[in-house]
Amino acid sequence: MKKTTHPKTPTPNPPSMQTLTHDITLRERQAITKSLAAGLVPEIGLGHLVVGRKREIQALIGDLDTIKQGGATFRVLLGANGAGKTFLQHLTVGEAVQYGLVVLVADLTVNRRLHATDGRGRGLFSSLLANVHTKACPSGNGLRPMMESWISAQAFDLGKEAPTPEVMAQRINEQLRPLKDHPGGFEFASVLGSYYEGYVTDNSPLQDAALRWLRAEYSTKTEAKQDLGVRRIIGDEDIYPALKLFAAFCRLAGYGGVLVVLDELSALTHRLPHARARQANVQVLLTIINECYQGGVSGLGFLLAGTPDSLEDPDRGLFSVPALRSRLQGCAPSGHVDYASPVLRLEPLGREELLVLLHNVRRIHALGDESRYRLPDEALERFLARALSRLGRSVLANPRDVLRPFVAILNLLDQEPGQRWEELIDRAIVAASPASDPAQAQLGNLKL
Amino acid sequence: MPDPARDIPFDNNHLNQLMSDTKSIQGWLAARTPVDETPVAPMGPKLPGPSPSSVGNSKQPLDLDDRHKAVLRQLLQRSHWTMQQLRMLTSSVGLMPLACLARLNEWTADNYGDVLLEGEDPIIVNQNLKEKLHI
Repeated sequence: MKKTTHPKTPTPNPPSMQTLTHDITLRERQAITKSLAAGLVPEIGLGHLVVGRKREIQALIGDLDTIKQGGATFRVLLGANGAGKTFLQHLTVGEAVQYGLVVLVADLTVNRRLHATDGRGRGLFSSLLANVHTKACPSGNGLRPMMESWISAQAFDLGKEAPTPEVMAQRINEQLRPLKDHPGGFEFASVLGSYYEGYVTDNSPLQDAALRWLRAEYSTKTEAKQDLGVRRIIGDEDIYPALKLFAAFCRLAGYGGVLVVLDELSALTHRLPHARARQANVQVLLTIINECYQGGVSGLGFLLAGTPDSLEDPDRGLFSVPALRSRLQGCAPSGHVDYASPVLRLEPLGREELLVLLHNVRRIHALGDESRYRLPDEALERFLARALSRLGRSVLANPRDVLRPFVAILNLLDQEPGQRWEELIDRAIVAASPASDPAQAQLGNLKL
Repeated sequence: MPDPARDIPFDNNHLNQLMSDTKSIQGWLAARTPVDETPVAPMGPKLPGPSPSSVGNSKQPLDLDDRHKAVLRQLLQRSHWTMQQLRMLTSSVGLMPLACLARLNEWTADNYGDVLLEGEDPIIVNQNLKEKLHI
């Protein structure tokens, strides 16, 4: 790292950030800089952005080991908005797929719940199955490829180019016999047989119907029986059992297990208008936690994220339910953090964390090539100090407010290397300030 | 006039510790390899689908068979394909289209660190990867 010592803020020989990690690919650079410029958390290359939080990350990666070894995990990331919950969730998703796990991702909302009676439970399951992340499909459209991969492997094992649907149905039933212990296991095998039949007979509607069933998109048994000949559907009250069934299938199919990632925990605790609905959802959570802790489920993990009130609100937080409080509340002595606790609390980033984050972004922008750094260290400190001065301490709670103009400066210096960074910093901060008037921002001539 | 930028003190001890931790965790993530264990799926997919080893545990990725190589050569001729076109390509060699896509992506992820095909319809060929592929 090029170090330009500041007279009043000397930074004594920090360790080089240049040699930290593996190569940064062009694709990672593009995804990261574009996401940050748009105020989003990127989905790839997150390891390059990590700042500290070693113990938290190791705890989350440890969960992946547990899942892969046939265990079960339940973890909640707790922190205020901007504390980095989504970042850590995305990081974990990326690591999990590289680790051979299948990851299902969804936001909890009023219309996507763990339990409901009007299709909203199925809404959550459908959303999860529409966001299946695998090593082959890391961006989340992995359900069909993983199903076809497994079916293809069965056909290959039969030693024929294209076995008949009847032969394949028999094969699938045999191979998925262990799933019959799960509710819906028989139908699951039957539906995969239908998917294959749709393939060999060039019957796309039959394949689509099979996918509809897998995604819990049938609302009536009658319709499912008509389309697929099965007597059972995945209903609003079957979400957790269906996830266990899916995890069991993934293990049979050669994957390490399934990680279910759910954001916006407060949707269950604070946005459901009726106490009865909240209780039903909390009951499902309790069942999940009990089974994960007691070994009643295999190869399945849950990673939830929420704001502190989703746990601690005395009226609606999960801690208001004694059974959940006893399972989730840590017992570490004051001043200590138990990273094995089911709840990982994330403090907002401080000034120093933000500065290291800027170092990371600069390095990513330059593809790890120090000779291509567009800003000296001094500029990073100056930029952050200006941002804090102009935008206030709120930037610590909302790092995206700092990252957006910072990426814009790097982009501009790439496009116009002759620009003086001192001027760009001031203008970028002004343009990023919510209080700045549009004319002033335009004067900055920065596309932020 | 005082420069506010110069008046913000950074905690250099904390900064150093943070950079050290960051270096440590980034290096740990980069170097991390999956745990060794008994295969979880004795009846799991074999070629042409993803084998347990190719799904995530692989240290020595399996090579592509001739049918997948044939499809790959075709795919590299264009920057994107419709699903219908992919279906035609794969059916000519007796493969299911998305199983083939998954196999190719796993292979490139294992060997080149990135997936080859993205999107659902159209399917985009990763141009950054195209130049590196040796088949």
